[in-house]
Amino acid sequence: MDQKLPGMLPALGWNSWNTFTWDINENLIKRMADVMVEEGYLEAGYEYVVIDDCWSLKERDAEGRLVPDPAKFPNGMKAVADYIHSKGLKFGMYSCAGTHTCAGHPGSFEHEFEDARQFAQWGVDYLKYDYCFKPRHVSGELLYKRMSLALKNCGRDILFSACNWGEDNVYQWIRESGAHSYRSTGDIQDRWDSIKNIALSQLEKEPFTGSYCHNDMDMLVVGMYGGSNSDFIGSKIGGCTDAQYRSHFALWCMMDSPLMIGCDLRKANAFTKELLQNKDLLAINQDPESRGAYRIKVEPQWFKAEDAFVLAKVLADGDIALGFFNFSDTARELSLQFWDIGLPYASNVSLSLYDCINHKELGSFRERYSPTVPSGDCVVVRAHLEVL
Amino acid sequence: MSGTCHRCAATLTGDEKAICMKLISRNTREFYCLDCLGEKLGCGRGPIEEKIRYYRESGNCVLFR
Repeated sequence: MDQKLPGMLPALGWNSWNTFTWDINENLIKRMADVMVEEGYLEAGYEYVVIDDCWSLKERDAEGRLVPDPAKFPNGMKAVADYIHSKGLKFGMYSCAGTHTCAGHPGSFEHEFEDARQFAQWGVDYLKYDYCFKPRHVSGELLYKRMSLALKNCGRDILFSACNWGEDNVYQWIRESGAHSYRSTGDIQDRWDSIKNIALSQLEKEPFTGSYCHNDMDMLVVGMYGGSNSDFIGSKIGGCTDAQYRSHFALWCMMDSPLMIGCDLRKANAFTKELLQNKDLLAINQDPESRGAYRIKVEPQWFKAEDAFVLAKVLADGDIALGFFNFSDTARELSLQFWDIGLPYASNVSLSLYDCINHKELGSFRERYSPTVPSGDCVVVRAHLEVL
Repeated sequence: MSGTCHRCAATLTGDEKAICMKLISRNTREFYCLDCLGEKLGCGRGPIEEKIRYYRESGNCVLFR
């Protein structure tokens, strides 16, 4: 395929909310764009720089238009968009289906078409569309369908990132709305239990993700280590181990989620950078067929399904990505019987396994593969079929 | 929205409900008092009280206005 259309693959980028929330400004966004280019994130595929909530004034102007806060964005949004585009990146913004955004700024309710035109004029390439302050008597489904039409007819390609937190039977209507991705869960927190709960809640929902409508499991907390715009209380609330961040990233890659970095890239340590730019995990996430991953309960049978599991994702070239995830408190040997991915011994097929975390060949295996996975950690391999 | 703590059934204040929405999830169905939330998050109630003060003083969070 010559050209990747918006939404064909899960979006990759950076979003301002997780670390900076309301404390955003033009210089910060520009600097983040610089870092994305200078530190190799753009080269790895991360192309969107997304400004989340709190970019506008608290009131529309006399003509009913959204107004960028001049204290934060003194040169306006087109200037920011032009700068980001000059770096080879794409520009994302935020609005809300309700009357107000979650932070109390004007939402796009009953302003959908004029706001879409305004975003297009500024040069916006991506719109995150939240769900706070939706009038109770109005169907959320209709509001997302409305904004989808507004964006598709605004004169510019704008990727539509719906964010209604999985409410209102979203799985049943979101693909047909025209949204390119949809938030399927509540907000992520920089904590291991939050990461686990989100991942577990989306297992068995693999039919509800794919090209042009990806299941968005929320922005990444990789590399945050408890840091946010309330650093004065340090990391007493929040923060994960490197192994847990590794599992978080691997899960999001395998489960076809968009990957929106949420940490301060200026402060990213070597581990964070290496993980976020892991080309083998990113290749799984960016596989052209964008299939969901299905779960296999590991042996031995007495492991609880929510404590340890394998995810299998069929890839476009015939390989299979296999992820072994240990959510329990102890290291465990997790066994995958190849019967359970359709390969009995009689098929005369072995799997040549490549370790996607450590970037090395592991050899050929027949019948089963049984890595020992530390607590909170994962093993991800790319399996290539070999006919014997 | 429940008016009592999911763990100890104590009556919840507005701040307690709001901080649960911030620290657990915006659409959480389970709410906790400060003591139980502190236990759940493993940090005690102190940092959570600091967080509430921070959000209120910033004026930027609709949940604490």
